[in-house]
Amino acid sequence: MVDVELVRYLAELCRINMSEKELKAKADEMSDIINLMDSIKEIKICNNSLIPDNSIYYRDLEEDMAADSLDRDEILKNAKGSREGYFSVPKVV
Amino acid sequence: MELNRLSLGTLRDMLDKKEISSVELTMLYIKRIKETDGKINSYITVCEEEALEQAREAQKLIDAGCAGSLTGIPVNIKDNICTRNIRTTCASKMLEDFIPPYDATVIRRLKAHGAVILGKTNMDEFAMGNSSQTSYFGGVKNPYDLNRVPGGSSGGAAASVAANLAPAALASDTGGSIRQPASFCGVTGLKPTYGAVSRYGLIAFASSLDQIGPIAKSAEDCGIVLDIIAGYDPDDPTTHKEVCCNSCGKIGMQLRDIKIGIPVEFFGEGISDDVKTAVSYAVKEYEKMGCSVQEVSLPSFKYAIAAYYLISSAEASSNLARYDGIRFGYRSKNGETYEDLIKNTRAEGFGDEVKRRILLGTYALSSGYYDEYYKKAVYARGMIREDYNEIFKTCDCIITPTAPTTAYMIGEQEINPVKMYLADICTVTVNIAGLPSISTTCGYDRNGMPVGMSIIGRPFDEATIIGVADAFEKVFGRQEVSL
Repeated sequence: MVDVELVRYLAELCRINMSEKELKAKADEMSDIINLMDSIKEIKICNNSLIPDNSIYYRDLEEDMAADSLDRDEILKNAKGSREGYFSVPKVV
Repeated sequence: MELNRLSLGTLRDMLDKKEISSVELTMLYIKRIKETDGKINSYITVCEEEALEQAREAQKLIDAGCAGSLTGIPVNIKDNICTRNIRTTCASKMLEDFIPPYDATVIRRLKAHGAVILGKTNMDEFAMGNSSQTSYFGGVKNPYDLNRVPGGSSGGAAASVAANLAPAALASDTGGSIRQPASFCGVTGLKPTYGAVSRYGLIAFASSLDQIGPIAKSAEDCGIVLDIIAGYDPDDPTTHKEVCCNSCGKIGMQLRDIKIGIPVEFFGEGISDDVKTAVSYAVKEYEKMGCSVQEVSLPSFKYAIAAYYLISSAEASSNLARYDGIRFGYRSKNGETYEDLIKNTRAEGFGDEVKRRILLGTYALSSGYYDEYYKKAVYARGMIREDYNEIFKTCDCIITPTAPTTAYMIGEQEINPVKMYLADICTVTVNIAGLPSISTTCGYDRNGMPVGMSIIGRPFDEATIIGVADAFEKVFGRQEVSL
């Protein structure tokens, strides 16, 4: 059973503000969804070779090499706040 | 025959013989989009000026005798694939005015080939959904019945091809998002093998499952597009050097040598009678063509939905952490501290389904739940791969329904998350196993809505599934939509 406090904790972890009303609604939805997911719990992990270390193919890693990246002004074009070549944000400290 | 109902091969022929120019062809599609797209809302952005400029440049290649298969031919692009200087929104408020500073690799390849990009197509927000109704820019409608969903998340791509607003489309598939809308809209859609097509520039949903693929009117047209976009990419470390490059090479092949597997689990409870009838008819047609057919089993099928949603949501929760309003995208006007700004941005910028998946993914990865959920989902992934490996020891391809039902009425199902998730049952195992699969129309239900069947192949054997799909398409009377 997923309760409001668990959803509040998850929302904090994933950095999404939610009202009390939304938390309650999401708790109800998540309970149904987790019930659907619960079928996975019946699996007994007995053959460790099926837990892939590299189920995704990665080609041979390359040496780090310095190269040009995107132009700074191009990158800043999409920022809602920028100043003197930096992203600007509310005070952190 | 109207020009915009022709295959890629025929368009190529007409362009090369100067029966039409690339500019004329592009203007024809743009005119049709302006006249018709209001009914189905398949486009988010139409790039008229850029498309005409690309058409003019493509015409130079055609005039010089240097045209490739797609040179001068218009296509559209799902709006989660980055296109330089063209808005790319993922159908989300979060990226409403995001303009990528670079092209995705698939876009670079299309442009190098001289293809013309008509615009960016509508979709479920961040590719999360199977109805294309969660878009911030309004839902998409099915051209066969404007009261029904086109499927998702590539509903705009599929609907636009079905409605002749583009001869081909690029879309993405994480759990069925190419195949299911292709099925609902009566067109053909191909999800390539994982690693066949670069994901560089595809806005990530679930990185171990996402693949870009084509939607078109036929398997052959899908193969033509695939050959241009597929291949090793230094910018995507998950691409393989062993990649399909002659996707249409088995069109016209002798089907007597083809062994088809029919997994019993895909024809059980929950699959509608119309769908079972249509797919069974297709299987009988393949038997008449000389294929041998055998019943097979996928015992781990019962874990598929849970495995898919746990893995994809876990990856999504990580991939979508980047949307914080700081460097790009929507930024909330509320937030006196850095933390509040980020939390409010994400609360205001994401829709409900996206929040739901992020919460599920966070749950699956969090302490106390990781072992019981995410770890077991990854193990189930291995089990499903093993099941498919076993089937492919005796079969060359597998045929299943693409979806349990045909397109349903807008508002009927998409408000119930569990019901929506269960509807992915026919498609998700393919993504989990990283296999190629093509959906093509195999019938129509009692309301005239298309039924799709999926043909699943061995890794990097897109040529066989395209050849098998093509063989059926040549004998099947596909019904065009009139819109």
